[in-house]
Amino acid sequence: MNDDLFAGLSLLLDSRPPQETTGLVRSVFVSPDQLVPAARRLLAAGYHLEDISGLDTVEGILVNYHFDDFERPGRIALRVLAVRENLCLPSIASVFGGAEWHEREVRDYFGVVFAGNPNPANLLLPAEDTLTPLRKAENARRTVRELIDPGTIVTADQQFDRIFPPHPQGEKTMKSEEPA
Amino acid sequence: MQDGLNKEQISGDAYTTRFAQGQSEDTLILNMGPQHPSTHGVLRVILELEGEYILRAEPVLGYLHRMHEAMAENRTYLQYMPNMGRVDYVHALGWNWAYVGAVERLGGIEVPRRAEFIRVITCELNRIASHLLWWGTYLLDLGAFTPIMYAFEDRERILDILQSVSGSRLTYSFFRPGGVAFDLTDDFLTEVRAFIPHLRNRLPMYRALVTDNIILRHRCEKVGELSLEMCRRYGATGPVLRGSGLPYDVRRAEPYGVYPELTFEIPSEASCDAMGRYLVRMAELEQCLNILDQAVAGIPEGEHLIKGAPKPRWKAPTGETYFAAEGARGKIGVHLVSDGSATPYRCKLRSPSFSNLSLFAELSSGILLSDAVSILGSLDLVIPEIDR
Repeated sequence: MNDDLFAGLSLLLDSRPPQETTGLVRSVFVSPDQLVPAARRLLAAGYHLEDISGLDTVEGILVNYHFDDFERPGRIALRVLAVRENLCLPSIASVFGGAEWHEREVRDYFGVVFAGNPNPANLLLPAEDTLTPLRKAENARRTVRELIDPGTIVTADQQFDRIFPPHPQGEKTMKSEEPA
Repeated sequence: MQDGLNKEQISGDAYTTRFAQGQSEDTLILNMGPQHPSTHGVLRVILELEGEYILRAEPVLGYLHRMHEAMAENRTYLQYMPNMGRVDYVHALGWNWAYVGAVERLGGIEVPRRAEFIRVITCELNRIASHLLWWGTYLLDLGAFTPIMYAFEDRERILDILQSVSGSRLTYSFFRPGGVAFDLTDDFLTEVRAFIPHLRNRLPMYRALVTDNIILRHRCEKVGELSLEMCRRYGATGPVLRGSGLPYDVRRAEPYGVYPELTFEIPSEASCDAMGRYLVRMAELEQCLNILDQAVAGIPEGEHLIKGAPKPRWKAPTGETYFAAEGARGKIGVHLVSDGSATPYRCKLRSPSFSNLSLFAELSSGILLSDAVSILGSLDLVIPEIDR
């Protein structure tokens, strides 16, 4: 069932992180244009939205969407990068109504704009505030590869290494492991 | 509208002004809260009313916003513990557990068996206290004054018991990565053993006094009907979801601690209304007592904190982790990201009340104003948990 959840969508990286340390069964990086179709698939498959959270990294703001299934538990992290030059992502509020508030929270904290959010106003910070309190100083940022261990890689698009370049010394590029 | 008053003059702050932009003819914009008693302090809901009926509603948040997530990034893993008692002060130990669970998962820290049982006992006592507080205040919202007196009498005993072991009555900071802060006192288990039959004997009285009351039934039945599909779209969990017929509980779905060894049922009600959510919570009180029975009987001797438990300047390994725990209001989630230093790189707190309230705007469309009070109460909101 799980295997064809995103069939036909172009994923940047699809992997299986170690569940006992990460609490996730699947981690999927997608480009912004694949976000809404992926959310539709998840809703159709019976998943619910747990939360949406931002993460300030060298590459930009990585937005993590956590989904889980009530009947067959297993958490999926859907990750989308908002680059600093254009902090804008499509809204999934038309698919998961609960996303409206989560997106507004990410907007408050990181300044990411969600195009199509029905009520794009501050949620938790005062109405006129643009503080983005969870953005980090430039020297405090880490790369996505440093922070997130993808685990066993199922599919990897070439674009992934371009968007999240490996460190010159030592870090591997993302390649799917041949099934045994 | 009176002569000489135009819309600009009567409009309120930015939120009301924005909300009023979609106003239809002959309707009234009403602010409910943040000081309305049934919002329990600091929730504000802007309503557009046509007579007694709600056309639109928009909750306005942030009155208790403290930016807990930013605080996580400027203190060490252990220094962040007291924050967990203040996110949801009504079921503080649920948050304690979610956070230490995340730290333990990230750091691969073991928990002694005795500590696991102490966690279950204290967390379930706290859950009972939370449900009793909800029960009393919900009925207060609906106009019944007496029940809160009984609820607080019982809750007071729990607070005394938990104070004896944790030192605090409300904002517990009792769990630690690798165990709990203090071992149980000598008379703790005696007190718990005495409390279990006490509350069990009170529950039939609660039922006779309140649950079967015809006025309560009329205020709750067929009010705020919430489909399972809507729960999914909004991520509603806990008694709100179980009141819509799905027995989903994180203690069973993603087992943690010693819950897999304990026998208990997950109550659910298929009626999907406020009464369903009410009955689920009342049934959960009994299940909590069943869990307490087993945990008190099965608690082993041993350490309450593992040797080599994280010190104040403990550094977590690099990586990310997500840990979920079942709070009194639903699924509590902590998403921790570590860069290998002594402070979290990012700590995202997933609050069940936040998701449970987010469906209110859709749910309240077309209902009576007085039913909005009944619905808000049936969601069992704790505002600091929503705002964080």
